[in-house]
Amino acid sequence: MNVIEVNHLVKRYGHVTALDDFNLSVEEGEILGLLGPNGSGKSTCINTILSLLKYDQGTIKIFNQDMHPNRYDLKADIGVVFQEVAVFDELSVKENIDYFCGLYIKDKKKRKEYIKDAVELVGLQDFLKYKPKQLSGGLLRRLNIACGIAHKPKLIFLDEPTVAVDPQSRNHILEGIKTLNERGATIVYTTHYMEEVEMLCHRIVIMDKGRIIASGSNDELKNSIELSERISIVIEDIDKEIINCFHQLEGVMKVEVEDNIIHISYKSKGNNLSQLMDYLNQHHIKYNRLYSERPTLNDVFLELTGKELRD
Amino acid sequence: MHLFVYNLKLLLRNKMMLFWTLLFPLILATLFNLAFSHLLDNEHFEIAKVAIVEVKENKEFCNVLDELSKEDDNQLLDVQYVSLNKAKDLLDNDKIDGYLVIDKEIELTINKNGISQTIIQTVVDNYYSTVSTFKNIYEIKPQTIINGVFNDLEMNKDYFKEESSNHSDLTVIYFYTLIGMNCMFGGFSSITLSTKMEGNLSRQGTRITISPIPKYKILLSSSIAIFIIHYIKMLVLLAYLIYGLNVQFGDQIIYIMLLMAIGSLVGISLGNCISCILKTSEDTKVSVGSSLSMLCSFFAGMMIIDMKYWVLEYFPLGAYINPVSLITDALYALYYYTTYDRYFFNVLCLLGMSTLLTFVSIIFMRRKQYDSI
Repeated sequence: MNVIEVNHLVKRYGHVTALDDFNLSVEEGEILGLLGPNGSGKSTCINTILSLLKYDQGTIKIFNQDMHPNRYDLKADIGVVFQEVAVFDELSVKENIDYFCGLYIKDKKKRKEYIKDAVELVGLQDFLKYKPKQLSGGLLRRLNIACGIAHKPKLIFLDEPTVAVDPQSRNHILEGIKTLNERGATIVYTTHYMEEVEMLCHRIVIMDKGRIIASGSNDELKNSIELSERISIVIEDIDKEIINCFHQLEGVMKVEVEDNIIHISYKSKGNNLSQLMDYLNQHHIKYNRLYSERPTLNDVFLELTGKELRD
Repeated sequence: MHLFVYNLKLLLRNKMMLFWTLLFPLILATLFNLAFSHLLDNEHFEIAKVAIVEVKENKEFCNVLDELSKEDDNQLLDVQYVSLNKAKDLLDNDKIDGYLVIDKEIELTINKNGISQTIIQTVVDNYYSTVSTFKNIYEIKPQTIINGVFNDLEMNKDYFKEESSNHSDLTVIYFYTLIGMNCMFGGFSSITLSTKMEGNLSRQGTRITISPIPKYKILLSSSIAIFIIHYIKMLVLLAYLIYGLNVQFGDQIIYIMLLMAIGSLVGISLGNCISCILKTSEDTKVSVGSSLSMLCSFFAGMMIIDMKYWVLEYFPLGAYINPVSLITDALYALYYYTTYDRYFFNVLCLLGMSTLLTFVSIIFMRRKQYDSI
């Protein structure tokens, strides 16, 4: 069953088209990653789906029903974690979670349990009486997440929840998201950190200029491009002849030099690494280190748009 | 109830707001009291000393003089009947402020100008005015004034009494405008809370907007919380004015409390309205709110008391659309008039204003989707 169904959505800000004939479907129980550079339309997409923003064309369905601002029944099952921290400075950690959870859960006893679960999920047990201003950036982000998911929604939107977060908090947040999904929540996760998407998401939608330019699983996306493998060789003295020789090798798409590292991109799959090692030995080329990498989502984006994901 | 309780917490923990809406009016009241208690000491009336030289008998005028020189709280004149020479002598030695020679006409002689001399002249002028009126009516319809002479003379006495008390109590208007201004300060809280509840103005607001709580419930719960907190602050101010500074509000406290409640409603409605109409930051909205409150207070006479009368003379409508002016006038009416007509008229105007502002706010708040956030 599709939890979200968006068809031919168009959203314009004056002359700028933020979402251009945008189509999206999210299946129940999946973690969908919306990946794209800043300004690609990820947040606009979420805000439009949530009926926060007016849109020019298209249809939006959530839980198979038309979504509009008065659908309080649908809103009751949705949780949102925004990029900016959305908590009250005057309230403590516990009060903030209780405040937002209370907008959904009326039963005090039930709410108490939910708050406890949310606090444990984000690891804020030791900070319940702290005011937001007393928390570090990472802890504040965790509070932001707890406020968005404490009511145990079936559908959760996470809009770049790990921006400017320390590694410890980031891991905590990502683990928490996995747990929420394991408990049954469908998650839409936007970010421009491809590593997070690779680690978390079942399916990835890559956006640029308000359009979907590719979608599929991590492997499907990486297999869909010409680049299949990148081998890097660390060499003390690089001369032009060696570089030219590498260009002649079978299946090589591109050879790039970065300081004392040569990156060789292969389009064909196969035994590229052992063939290259044989070649280096035969020609007595000395190297310090040699390693092979699979293409990244950045490579996918680069090949599709001609620009880096973080441009 | 959940939202209401948390709105109370949010309001009570906003220290800046507490300062402006609770401490600032108390400080201002204290400053007013310090400034005006001194002013009152200087402006206290001295009884005008006047000598009467009765060349020709004038019973009516002498009755007026006797009435005004009775030794009580309202005594205006200290009269002594003397010869002309004695009167001149007393005036030369500054023992009297002036002397009146009652002949065919009544002539006042003074050797300097001042409040006492003005009072004596006013008594004479008023007497002539009344006598003239009396004669005119007598010529047209003599029967109607058989019992009227003393009433008219009594009216003169009341006139002076009112003039006298008006002068000493002008400063009360400053405290009235302070109450009016503080009612408007309720708008600051509603601006702050509304901003936190509005989806395109704050991220907390966005989170609340996507929750399954209808907007009218959010507006209602926050408005009730703001009203309760602000009304308590108003009562603290009233208690401080009455018991701390001994400002006289008469014995109509219940009516004053009712007026404060309605005034606070107007302030809160105005804040909601500003918050809903203006698409700017909270700081800008608070600036607009405070400027408006100060402007209303200014035209109600807070900084220059004559401004209130200037508005009434040159732009009377301004007094009816200025909530601080209406609150001030209602308090004034409560203190000076024996009937409640003027008080309730002002109260009705305030209620109408609050209803209109709330209506406008609701129209703007009905917007549930935004062009951008």
